[in-house]
Amino acid sequence: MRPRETARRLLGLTAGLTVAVVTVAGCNGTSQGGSTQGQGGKGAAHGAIDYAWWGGASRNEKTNAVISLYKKAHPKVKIDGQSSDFDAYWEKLNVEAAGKNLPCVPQMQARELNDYTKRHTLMPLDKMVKSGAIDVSGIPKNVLDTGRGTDGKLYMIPYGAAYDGIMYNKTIVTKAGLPTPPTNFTWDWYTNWLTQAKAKLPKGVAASNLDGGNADVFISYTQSQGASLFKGDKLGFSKSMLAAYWNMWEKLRKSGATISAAAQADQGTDTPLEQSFMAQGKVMSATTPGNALEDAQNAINGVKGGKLAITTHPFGSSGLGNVLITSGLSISANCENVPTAASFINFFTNDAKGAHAFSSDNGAVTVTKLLDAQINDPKTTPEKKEELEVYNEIVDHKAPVIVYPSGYTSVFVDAYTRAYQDISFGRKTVAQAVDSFFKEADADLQQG
Amino acid sequence: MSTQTLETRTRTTGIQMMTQPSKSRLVRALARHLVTIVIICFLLYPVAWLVAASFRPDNQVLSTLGLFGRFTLDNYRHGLNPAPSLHFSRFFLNSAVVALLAVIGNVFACTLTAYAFARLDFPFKRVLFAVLMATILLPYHVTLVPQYILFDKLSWLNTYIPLVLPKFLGADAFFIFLNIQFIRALPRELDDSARVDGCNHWQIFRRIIVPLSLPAMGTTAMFTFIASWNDFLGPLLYLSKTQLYTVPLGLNMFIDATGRSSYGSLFAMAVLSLVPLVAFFLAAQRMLTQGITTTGLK
Amino acid sequence: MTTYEETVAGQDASGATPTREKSRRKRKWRSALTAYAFLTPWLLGLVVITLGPMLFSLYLAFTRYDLLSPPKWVGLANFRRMFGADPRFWQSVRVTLTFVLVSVPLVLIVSLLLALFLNRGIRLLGIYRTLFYVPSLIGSSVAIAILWKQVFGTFGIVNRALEVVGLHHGSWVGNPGTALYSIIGLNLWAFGSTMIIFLAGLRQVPANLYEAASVDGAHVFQRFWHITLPQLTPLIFFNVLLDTVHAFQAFTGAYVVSGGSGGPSDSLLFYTLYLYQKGFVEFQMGYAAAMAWLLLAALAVFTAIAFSTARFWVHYGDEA
Repeated sequence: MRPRETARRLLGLTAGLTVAVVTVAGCNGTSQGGSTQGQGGKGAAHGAIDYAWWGGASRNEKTNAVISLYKKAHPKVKIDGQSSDFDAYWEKLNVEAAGKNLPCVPQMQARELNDYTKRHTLMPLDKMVKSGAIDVSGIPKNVLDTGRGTDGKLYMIPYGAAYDGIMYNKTIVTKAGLPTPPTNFTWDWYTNWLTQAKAKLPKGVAASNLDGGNADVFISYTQSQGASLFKGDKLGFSKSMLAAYWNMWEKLRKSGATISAAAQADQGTDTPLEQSFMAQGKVMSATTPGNALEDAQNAINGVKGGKLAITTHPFGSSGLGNVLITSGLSISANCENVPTAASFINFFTNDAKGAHAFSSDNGAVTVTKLLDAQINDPKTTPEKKEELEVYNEIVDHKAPVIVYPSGYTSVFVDAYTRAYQDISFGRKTVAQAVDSFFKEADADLQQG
Repeated sequence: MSTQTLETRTRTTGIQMMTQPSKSRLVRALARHLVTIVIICFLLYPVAWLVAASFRPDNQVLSTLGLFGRFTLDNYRHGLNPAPSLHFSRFFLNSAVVALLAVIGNVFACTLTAYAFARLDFPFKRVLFAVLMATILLPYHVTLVPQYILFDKLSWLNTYIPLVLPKFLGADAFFIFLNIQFIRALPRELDDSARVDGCNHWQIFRRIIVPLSLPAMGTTAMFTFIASWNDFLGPLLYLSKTQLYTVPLGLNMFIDATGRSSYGSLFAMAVLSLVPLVAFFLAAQRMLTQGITTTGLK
Repeated sequence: MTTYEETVAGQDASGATPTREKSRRKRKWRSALTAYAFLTPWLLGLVVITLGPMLFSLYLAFTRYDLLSPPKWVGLANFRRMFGADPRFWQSVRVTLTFVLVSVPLVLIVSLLLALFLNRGIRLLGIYRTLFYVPSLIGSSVAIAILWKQVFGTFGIVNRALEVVGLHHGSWVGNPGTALYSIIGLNLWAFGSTMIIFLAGLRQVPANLYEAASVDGAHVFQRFWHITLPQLTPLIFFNVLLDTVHAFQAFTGAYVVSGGSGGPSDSLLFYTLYLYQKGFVEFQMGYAAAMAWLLLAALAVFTAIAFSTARFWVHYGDEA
């Protein structure tokens, strides 16, 4: 072969391949909401489906237990379970979505849900609910509605509802001679509590984490003031509200009631619970997910750091602002075995034995009947019970439904944390940070 | 140790003997060892901590900075058998298969390609070399998605082909460049004299370049093994079935920010996963230490 | 069969008769053919799995592409936004440049010095070399973030040590003023792989050169300056080039230690980390591709400069 010709052929080949790749990608995304066939989800469950979730060792064990219960009831079905940790899970899911290759049943969370619904990678489930393939009658309405997309259709059946609350170290509180938070405690009570605690705590223990950069706390604050985080694709709260809120945290930080900005950044959002100040007995209180109580208690036992408890976020002028962060199951638009997927979701959500085996590992079980059974079960640990009771309290206070716009975790949460870090590290004033945050969030939410 | 080291040692000491009294020589040798050991202690504290933590009870794993404490083997027991139907040795086996194939493929493709670039003249050499360099310069995150789509269309997901085949095709240009640099550093007279003896290019490659660039090949093999053994993103994207998981994916199954993690098991298995790496390093090291003198060519 | 004369024939074309000219061309063909035979696996891989995706990403740089809908052509909009309207882009450039300028020389000098130190016939060399290399072995494993917080975190060993001598600092990883230096430390910690390349190179220095020198009575420093260093230049060049390129593409350390956020206060927002955030977290693959090609262009300029200066200081064995 002559080299010039070789080169020309190579070039031709490359060009051809490039075109092929471009066409392949170009074909993507044209389908709307997947195949229409089998959307009722009725029909015998058989064949294989993939189910992917996020979780560590103990959740994997529980999930696998539910899967084997389902297999026992449906011997003709093969379920391929895949687990990874939270970050890796979304990374993989994004690439799979680009390749139109999502697992049949991907686990979703309300905060991320609309990143996927907006791009039509999930199947609306309303028809399957209507046909009875998926039973949602046991789930309270405000919990079920967290599974809706921005278009109002149901895309996720929530099976577990988590919430963020104030976790506190009872032993430290009592030793300092302080009261534990009463029911319906307010934001003022809370900040006073922290300020007073400062003088009474032993050296090396702070009254609180520096939670001003945690967007999930701010959600509770806005809701408790009668505002809402989002109005459609726009921010639903005012600049002055955010400024007041951040000033509140700055006052706490400067008075020494909280841990330092650097220590907070060090903990970050990804630090394992076991390495957190709370689980090491180094803070009196901090915002923490309710379902972390059991694990945090287990970790703090390792350093003999005391007894932990959890309660709601503080009350504001409009009452309790806690929202629910639900996790649930969806069906991907590229799923080819919809009846089986629907049957599995139905089982995961409603089966009593399954719920018992899973024991509300990823937030309180959403079906009221199953929840009551779990609270009354003598085998449920006291920590789990406490977590579930606080959940009940939040549901009773009519936890508002938040529809998170697409780009919530990727854009809003990151920008929010960064803006508060700029303040707490003294790089911007509160007013400057509020301004730049509004600019960034508004622009990016519209982009997303 | 090989004879080479011995030679070097006698050579250096020979010079020193002429100029220095032996007592200060001893002191200096001791000082050198002391410096080395102090540096190593600093470097290895995190690793020692990792090993020590893997032997502590699960809820004390992260809470101590020291290296000693209560000792337990529970982490290893639980880690090796994370679920009734799952044994961690499966992941070790999978990783070993992938890493060994990757090493063979990479050493094969890289030395061949490097020889052509270092020793042969051919049309478009400069262009192709520029392309080679460009493939090193582009961050891999952007080609990730098109590559995933390509491998998906070829139905190669959930196989080891996407992890191994690129190595046989020299897709990791970094190593080609490494070998080019090594081969270019070899004196050209060696090839020339072989050519005078009537060797063709393949024979020169086989009989002269390959034996002489054993250190380069050892380096390539070692880096490839480590990179492949530690690779997380590739297996994460291309493997979904648990039976196919490699060690890093298996390790990832122990932890999660949204629930209880099992750091004890993670650390125990992370320590075990270091064992093949160290073993491979020790094996490859013998190749690295074979210097140019031991080949007897010069 | 090729002969010695043929290989030099390329450089010495003068005085060629027509018949010699013809046979020379024929030999050239054959040599090209041999070269391409050696190159076949690589070319195959280049065409099938590398070039296509690369060119596709070049196309993406001029589009808006959210991974799931078809790419939409936007011309130079991504580049305009990058230069004009994205302060975080410039922050990522700042962070990366600082990292490159501090980290690369540090790693190179430390690993070269230790390679020389270890190569000089120290007892137990094999063991030492292995121990120095151990950090590189776990350089990217899942456990690294936890380990690093154990060293530089609020309750980490560095802080404890400082407290003992009466200095209080607080978290190194959590402070925007020092976070980058903890990553530089992480990078330096794994200097073993650069050192290994130097050590392998030192092995290739022909021993007879030293023997000749020692007969001439050259002392340690002279031998280093006149023999070791010139012989090592191809690998120094290699390491400078590759360590710089890798430093520009540094990702894992910052990703793992900051949990993917690039925080605190964007102090660990490395270029590729920001690129990754744009592409895989915010679904702006077009923008990410534009960033990637800008980086490629910048690195290409750097590489070209490096290669053009190489003539003056890199000594190859094939330039006999």
